[in-house]
Amino acid sequence: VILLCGVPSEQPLALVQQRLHELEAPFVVLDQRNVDDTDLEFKVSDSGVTGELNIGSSRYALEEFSGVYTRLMASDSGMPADISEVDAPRQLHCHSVYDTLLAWIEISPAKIVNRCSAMGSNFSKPYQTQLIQAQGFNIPETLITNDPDLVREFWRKHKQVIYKSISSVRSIVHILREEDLERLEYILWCPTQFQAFIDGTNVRVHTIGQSVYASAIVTDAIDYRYAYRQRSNIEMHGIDLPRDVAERCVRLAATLELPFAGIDLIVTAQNAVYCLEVNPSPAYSYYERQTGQPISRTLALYLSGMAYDIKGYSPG
Amino acid sequence: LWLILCHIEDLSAQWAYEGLQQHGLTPLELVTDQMLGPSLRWNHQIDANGARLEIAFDDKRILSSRAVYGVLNRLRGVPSWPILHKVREGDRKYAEQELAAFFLSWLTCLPAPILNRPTPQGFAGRERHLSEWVLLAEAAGLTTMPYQQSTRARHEPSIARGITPNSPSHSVLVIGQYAFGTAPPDILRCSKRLAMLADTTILGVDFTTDAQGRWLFANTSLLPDLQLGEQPAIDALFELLNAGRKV
Repeated sequence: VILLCGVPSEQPLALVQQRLHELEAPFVVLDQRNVDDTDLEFKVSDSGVTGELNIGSSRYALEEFSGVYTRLMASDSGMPADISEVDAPRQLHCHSVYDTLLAWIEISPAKIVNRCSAMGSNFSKPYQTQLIQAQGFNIPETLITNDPDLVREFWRKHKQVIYKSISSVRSIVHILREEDLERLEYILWCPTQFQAFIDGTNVRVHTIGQSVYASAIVTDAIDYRYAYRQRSNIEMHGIDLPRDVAERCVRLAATLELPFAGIDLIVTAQNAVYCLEVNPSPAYSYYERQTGQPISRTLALYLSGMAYDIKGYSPG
Repeated sequence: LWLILCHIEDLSAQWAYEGLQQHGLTPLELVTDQMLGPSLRWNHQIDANGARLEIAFDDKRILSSRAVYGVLNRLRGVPSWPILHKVREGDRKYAEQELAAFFLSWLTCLPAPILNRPTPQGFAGRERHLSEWVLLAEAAGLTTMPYQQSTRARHEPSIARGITPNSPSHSVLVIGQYAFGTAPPDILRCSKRLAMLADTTILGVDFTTDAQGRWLFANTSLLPDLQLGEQPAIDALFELLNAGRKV
């Protein structure tokens, strides 16, 4: 049995439900916003990890779950819509379900997509960059500093420079323009991240186990994820990656302990491949809708332990 | 040089600093969280040559990651920068996340040996949920009490493990391949195995004993009291850190 956790109407979760249904693979949905009648308990003993999940009148032994897909929202934003701020017992119960679920997910022997601990690398972009580089990818030259002079020097060297969050919060990419140099004194009190701008084609790679789906994104937006905010057009189509790049992506995801990952690459006109970051909880539905790639089907096959195609490699 | 990174109140780190200096691990710098403020000039770069850090201190001293031979890392979190208290709440939380992400990155680029290696789950090693430690302790051969967690225990702690504040407590300190403490040999051996399974060089392991005198695993610490190991702990730290000496 597969356990799906999150908000059922959210597209990535909804698509996997649909595919599991098509595959006739049994699954259970734990609706994060409707946990009033949900209870969970687990035990760690010399016989391993055991426990029970109760949703309404249905009971499931935790050992029955062979795969888990989580799209859990942070416990505060994942609260039921009708919960009152002063309803402390109900709020406590929601937090308790969330905490107990996350603790169990961390130690369950099931296939987990993805464990919270594995998602941690995305919490610090430059930390993740170091892990990405260790897997043989080019990375954009990066400077994190609170010294305006170093930034000016970096800007003169690279001509085109972007700045973005160091953490995963408010992580929107902006170009550092000449007029921005005048307000660099603001960084004195908080080191800020700058990167050499890499000109090329954005490629989003989704890896699921050994399977690889790559989409090329054509846009004039600096950060294609926010193209609509920058009033830019965006086009997307599925591509096959060279085998060595695809294998490197699979290896990177495996190193980060992410069975499912969204890897952002930029391929330059000279065919140099830069890796910008790895998203540990990719909202793949957007790419699936644009390219027709069967990402949700492969994810459903992976979760249910059925054979799935290893796709996305170009021959030779 | 070698570095000890710690919080200002970390007496264990202070003790290790003095002990390692006397042992001949020099030059050795003790850098506390209070010294790692915004008045420093921070320069952290990642490029084709790898990642590096340069910090210019207020007194003009420069600390370069390239000059570091090894680190005893006992930072448990980002120091509180007073400037952030003047920022409105939403921005302060964002700035704190930025600083935490920054600290994790520059700590990671310090050259090995780094005891313990920073992780996203903890600057001084990977913090784990107690249930995960119990599972690892079981795998390491230690006797554990069943760990239970339930959402049903709504008006009392949901974790019931049979350990009370009055339970007798004992500690073991693991430093690499050495374990210290007045514990039976098999407990010392299994504690070392637990540290190995957790991929952690320095680990404190806490136990309680039951009526039959059995040692039962209770919890762990990534920032244990190093003084528990007395001079042999200094010897072990010296051995591990000295392995980074450049010839």
